[in-house]
Amino acid sequence: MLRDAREAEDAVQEVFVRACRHLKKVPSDDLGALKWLYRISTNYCLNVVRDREKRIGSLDNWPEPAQPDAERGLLDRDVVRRLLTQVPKKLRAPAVLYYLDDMDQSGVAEVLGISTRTVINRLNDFRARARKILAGRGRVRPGKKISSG
Amino acid sequence: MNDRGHLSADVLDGYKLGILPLDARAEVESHLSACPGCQAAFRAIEDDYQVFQESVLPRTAFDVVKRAQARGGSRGTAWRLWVALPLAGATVAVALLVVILTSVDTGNGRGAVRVKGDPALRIYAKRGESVFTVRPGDRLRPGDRIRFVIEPAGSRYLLIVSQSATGALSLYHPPKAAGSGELRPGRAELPGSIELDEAPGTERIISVFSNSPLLVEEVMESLRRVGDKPPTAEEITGARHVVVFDFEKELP
Repeated sequence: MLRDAREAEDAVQEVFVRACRHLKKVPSDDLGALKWLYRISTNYCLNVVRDREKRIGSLDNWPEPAQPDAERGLLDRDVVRRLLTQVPKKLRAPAVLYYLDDMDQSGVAEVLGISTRTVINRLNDFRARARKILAGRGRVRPGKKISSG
Repeated sequence: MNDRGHLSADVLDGYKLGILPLDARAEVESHLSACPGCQAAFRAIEDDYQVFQESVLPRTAFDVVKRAQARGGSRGTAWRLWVALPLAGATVAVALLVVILTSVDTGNGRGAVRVKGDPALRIYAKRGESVFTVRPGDRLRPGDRIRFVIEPAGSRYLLIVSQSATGALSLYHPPKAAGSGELRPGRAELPGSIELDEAPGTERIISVFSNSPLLVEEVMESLRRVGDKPPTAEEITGARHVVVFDFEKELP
């Protein structure tokens, strides 16, 4: 998600520190703990991406596949990654867990502590916005947002 | 397995950590034996584990524990985690760090592993008017055209070779050359594209990064010696880093 090894290392350290600080919140079973860690690490990395975007604009300057259609585009992790900064915050973590971490909807719900219905709605919202972005521009431009209406 | 027929990252992490129930473990092993995409994803996780334990942990653990204590974490807890990290494969602490490392996809999909300082290879395919990123294990068709995008990460020369399902080797980059092509610093899209032929089965793209030019024939000879398994930099004289990328070719 971060696509930067240095930031990744920093993220590892920061999440480790947060985990130590909130150890009482960590579920006692291993699988529960793993999901808890997915949640805080995903949120932390999304914040890093957001801050980076604000600071210097997107670093995502890979050559882009020409004219990806929306459905195909969402199968492309690179496209999903670019879309993350162009959709509302509440859609980002579900999109990361579903499209980048390959979880199913119930798994995303479990990690984020929200209902499966909410996950489905947010993923639908994410897809709708992705279609709009991809159809409107033919490609994903970093740093531009579409309206939430 | 998710609704797209693949294993999710948390399941693969859980498998690697040895924390899955027995039935889930058996399911993962069964799926891994048949799915090249998930095999590549799992290899990436294993590589990340290794990098973490050998490189990141020794360098950062002390400062991290100090920071954890400074922020109010229990001294005992922080030190216990620190001690547990290199020793145990199935601790929450390891999971934490593995989760982060494995979620930090550096633009190579789940398969083309790239850690700090390593070169990376990315493949784009064009079918008709549609262009898409190829992931390890993807199914391509004869007539599809592929292009390569690389990040040299300090390497100065590159050779890209294709290995067909029958083991036949072909030079992809630089085309018709006797040795490695020189690279400029920074991310680059290699010129030209390759049209895939009709030979079905797994095609392996082997990119050999080096600091000095390598002779095509010598690299080919090394690859013939390695045979079917993915080659490593140690097996190719002069190679600094080798990135292996497998995809399937099927008839339309």
